[in-house]
Amino acid sequence: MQIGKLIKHNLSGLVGLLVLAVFVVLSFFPQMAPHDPHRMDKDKILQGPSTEHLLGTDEVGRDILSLVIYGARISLLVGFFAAGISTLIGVTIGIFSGYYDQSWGQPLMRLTDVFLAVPQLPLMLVLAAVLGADILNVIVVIGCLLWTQIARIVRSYTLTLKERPFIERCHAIGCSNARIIWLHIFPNVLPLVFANAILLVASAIYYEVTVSFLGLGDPTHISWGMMLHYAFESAAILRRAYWYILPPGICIVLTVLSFTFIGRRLDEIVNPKLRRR
Amino acid sequence: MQRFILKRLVISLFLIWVVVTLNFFLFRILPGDPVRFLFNDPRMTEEIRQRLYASFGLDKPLPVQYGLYLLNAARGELGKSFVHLEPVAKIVGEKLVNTIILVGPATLIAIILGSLLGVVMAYRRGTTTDTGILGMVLLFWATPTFWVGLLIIVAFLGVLPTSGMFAPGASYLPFSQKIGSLLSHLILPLITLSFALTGQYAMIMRNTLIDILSEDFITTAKSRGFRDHYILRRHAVPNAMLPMTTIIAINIGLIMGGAVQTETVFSWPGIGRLMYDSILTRDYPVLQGSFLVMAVCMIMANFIADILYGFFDPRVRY
Amino acid sequence: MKKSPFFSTVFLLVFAAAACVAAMGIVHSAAAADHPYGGVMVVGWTQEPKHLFPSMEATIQAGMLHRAGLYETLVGFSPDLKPVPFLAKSWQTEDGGKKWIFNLVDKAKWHDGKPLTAADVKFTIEYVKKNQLSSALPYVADISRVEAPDDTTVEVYYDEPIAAVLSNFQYLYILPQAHFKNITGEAALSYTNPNPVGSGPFRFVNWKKSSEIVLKANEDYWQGRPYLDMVIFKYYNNKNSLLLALKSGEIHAIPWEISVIAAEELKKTDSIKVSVDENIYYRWINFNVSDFGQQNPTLRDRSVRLALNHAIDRPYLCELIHSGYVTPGVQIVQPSLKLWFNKALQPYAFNLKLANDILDKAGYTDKDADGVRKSKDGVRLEYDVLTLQRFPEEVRAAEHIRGTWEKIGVKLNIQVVDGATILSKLFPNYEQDMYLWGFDGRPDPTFILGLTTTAQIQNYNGAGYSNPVFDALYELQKKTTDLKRRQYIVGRMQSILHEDAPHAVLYNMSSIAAYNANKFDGFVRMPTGTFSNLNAFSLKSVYELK
Repeated sequence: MQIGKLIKHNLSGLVGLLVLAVFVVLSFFPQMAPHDPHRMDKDKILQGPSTEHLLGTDEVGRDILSLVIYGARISLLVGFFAAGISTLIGVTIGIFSGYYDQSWGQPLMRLTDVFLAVPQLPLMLVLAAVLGADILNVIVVIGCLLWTQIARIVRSYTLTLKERPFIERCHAIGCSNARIIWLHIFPNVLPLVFANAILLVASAIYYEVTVSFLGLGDPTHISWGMMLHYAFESAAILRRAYWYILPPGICIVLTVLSFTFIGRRLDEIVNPKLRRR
Repeated sequence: MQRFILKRLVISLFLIWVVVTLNFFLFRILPGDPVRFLFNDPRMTEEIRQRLYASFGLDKPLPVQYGLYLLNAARGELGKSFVHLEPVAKIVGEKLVNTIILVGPATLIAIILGSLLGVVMAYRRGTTTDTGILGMVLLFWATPTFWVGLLIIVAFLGVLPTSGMFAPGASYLPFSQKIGSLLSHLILPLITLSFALTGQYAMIMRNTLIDILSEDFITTAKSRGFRDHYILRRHAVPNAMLPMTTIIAINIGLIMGGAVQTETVFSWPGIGRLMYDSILTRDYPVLQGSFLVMAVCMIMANFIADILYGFFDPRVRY
Repeated sequence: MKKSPFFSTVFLLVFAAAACVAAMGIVHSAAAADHPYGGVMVVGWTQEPKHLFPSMEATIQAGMLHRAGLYETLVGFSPDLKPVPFLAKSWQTEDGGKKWIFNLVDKAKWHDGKPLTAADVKFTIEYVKKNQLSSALPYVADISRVEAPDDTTVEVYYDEPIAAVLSNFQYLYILPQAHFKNITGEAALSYTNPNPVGSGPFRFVNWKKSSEIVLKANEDYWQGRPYLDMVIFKYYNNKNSLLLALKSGEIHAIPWEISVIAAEELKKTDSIKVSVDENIYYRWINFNVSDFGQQNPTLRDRSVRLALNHAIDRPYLCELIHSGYVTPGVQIVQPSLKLWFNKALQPYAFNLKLANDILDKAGYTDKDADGVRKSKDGVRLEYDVLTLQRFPEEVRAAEHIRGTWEKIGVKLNIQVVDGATILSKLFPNYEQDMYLWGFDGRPDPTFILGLTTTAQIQNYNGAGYSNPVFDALYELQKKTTDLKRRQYIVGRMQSILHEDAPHAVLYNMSSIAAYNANKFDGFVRMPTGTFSNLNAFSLKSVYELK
């Protein structure tokens, strides 16, 4: 009965975890794909689903199911690393601007305001266009623009933590600031960050897909966003090639949703304010 | 109050300055020699190239360029497009109007629809209705806007116009005939953009309302025997509008992101599509210009939202 | 005396016959204008011209507007690309080809009503030379002097006779002196010609940037007004919208940029006709053989380049990437140039064994068995190729080539960039290994052969190829006016290129256009395309079908 209740309570999170697990497995073992995704075949251009190609073929005859499986890797990779960079930046800025609120925390706050004041997707596009369409650049660009949310949360939490008695006692004993931050503030902030970091992965994947679709993704790697970009560029729409357009999009939605469900559930667990009142 | 407005104004101007400076430096670190590609003719002697550089102002030392750039930006002079050879400000201005035609109604629909959904969710929190709608709203939120656009195009191919703003030549017709063409071209992108934004606003309304419904004054009203609908209508929702305004203003960036995607997919001649085109053609002055205009709009929207907030909420006095 | 009824009858009959003949004559001449005037044709494209100044234009979009609508040249292109009279109704040479006399038609008028005279021609030539207007400069560079003794005679003087005189005048658009004489120097270089005044069958009305360009029929056109009332060129920012617009009837013609998948799809619609014409346009991979030293040095070895060429499966690529609409490339002078293509050239056969043998004999081995051959000095046969984002299908081609080159121990890294980036890597220091692009030729081979001359290094010579023998032959053919001799020289030049292999021509492109055959007719097909920038008929002979 305990298990039953546990599942019911955390249903959304568990479903998300399950779906995510499928994609992670696929990205680690893409060999499960039925065909070599790079193999082009001039006789099978833009064909619909068949027994040999379950999801049909693209404009150069490549198997779409295999492309989708291989594409999982890039999307997850970019999502993780971009979210990782964002989290790192966000936690650092959040802690420092909260802890040193009186002194140089203020300029850091202003920095956060600046990043909040600019439209995110357009800025990503501008940066990606200037830096070049490389997978590393995409990760860095997305990572450097999504940290504001976490920074704010961490900052406000740091502010409250700062006033707690145990911190005051540390000061009294003579702990250095560095020690306090590293040994006390940071570990306490982490659980809060974890849930938000997962939500951040969802955002990062969403942005990677959009940036790729708009033509600024890395064309030498297979990714869901680039697949949709090529679908748009070739005449797939004219052919009503739903088999080319639906699968990558569905995968994107599933992946983003699973991270969102997991993140939200974790957030509810960690953040007591969000629990049912 | 004056000091409050002044302070927000200063902050806004500072932000605008940062964006302008960012724009300036971005352009300078790019690879490729856009002036050469502009005339698509490498048969250009060094002398001619220098002359073109001068006419685009690219031959002066960096600090001087920066100063000139700031001065020009203040006057609204944003340089000349590499591709169209016309002033950027003119090009961007024309397209901005078209974007507003699309984004305005879409935002309105999304706010209204989203708020309704948000209210229902918050009111029926924890029930299956809430979970059901929440699931649907999250689905909206997680679906890339451009993908929805692609699907809609495939679905409505041949039924409704799927690109552009007018039928060819229609822009020369008198208004009464023009408007029909405009409306038929507006439907599909409008649906797409509204779909994307509704999710955002539904979530915002839900969260805001949940916070408010847990406040004391609501409990008091309930204990006084007022009916739920009345409480919602007269107490909860009006109080929610204020934080909603701020949050909506902060999320204007999302509107712009959505606009870029929708306009690209539907070939709607607005500032979003202008940005996409200028990326493809590496028309850096236009890319910078459209980004700048978007950022300034966002900063100004935030400024107005802050002022309104300060105006309506007497508790806020900085 | 009473008139004889016989004579009256005969007289009446003769009169009636004459009347009939006259009537038929009237009907017949009315039948000469046998298509109705009227109609608005909408042409769609995904790239607009940058500007409308013909002396500085380099895009095919502007080319089409100038050739078919706004401006005119002295010499025109016949439907098989031969020179025919246009603004110049006849010409003679004197002095062994050093003096050319062009006799102009006397009815041509500018759009503002003023007559087009020899003074305008003289002005145009001198204007282009003085201001070094890049696009038109090559056509007048060899002219030493020009005179206009009267309104319809132009005398053009050359220091030496050159073979390409008529070809040059097929490309030189004549500008109105009154309009341009005050725009000089720097202003001329950056002039965008916002309100073009030309002499062509259509006049300019309006250009809403990234939206539409509107042209209107020139009622006073000296060849007689065109059938159409208006032509609108509408801009779409992506190819899908463009194709959908043609299918739905929103536009009536797409002049080029139709992918083969789209062509197949369009053919399914009854009202749409797809016309595929030979083209003088090829796509190639240009190797860096320059001596600037920035590239992988193994590319300077001819054997390597030959092997690379033999390891490209051109026929398969033609099928895969272009669904058989293009033909495998041979050399830069293409088969569509029937007068100049060297038919004796053997195309590089796709032969992996041969390619491997060539590399083996040249001493490139893979001792450490990592799949990549190395030179005797240890340099890996690994190259970066720059491909254009604008041609996503060629990125696929590069991927396929990467696959076949892998089988001969060569590693290819693909970078997708934009044109400006390629040009910046190319000039001034030739920093790339190789790049994939295309080139638009001309009916006269001088231009395309010039691409591989030493003089064009830092300019059009993207391979950095420098061969003094080739250069000497180039100068010679420029001046050789005897056709057979010139053909021989041009053929020899192609053989040299084929042996040296400084590039790999992938395919000879076709020009694919599509139009609504239920609504419009009268299109004139020619090599380079129904709407190419060599086709002066593409708008003026089109009429609306009622």
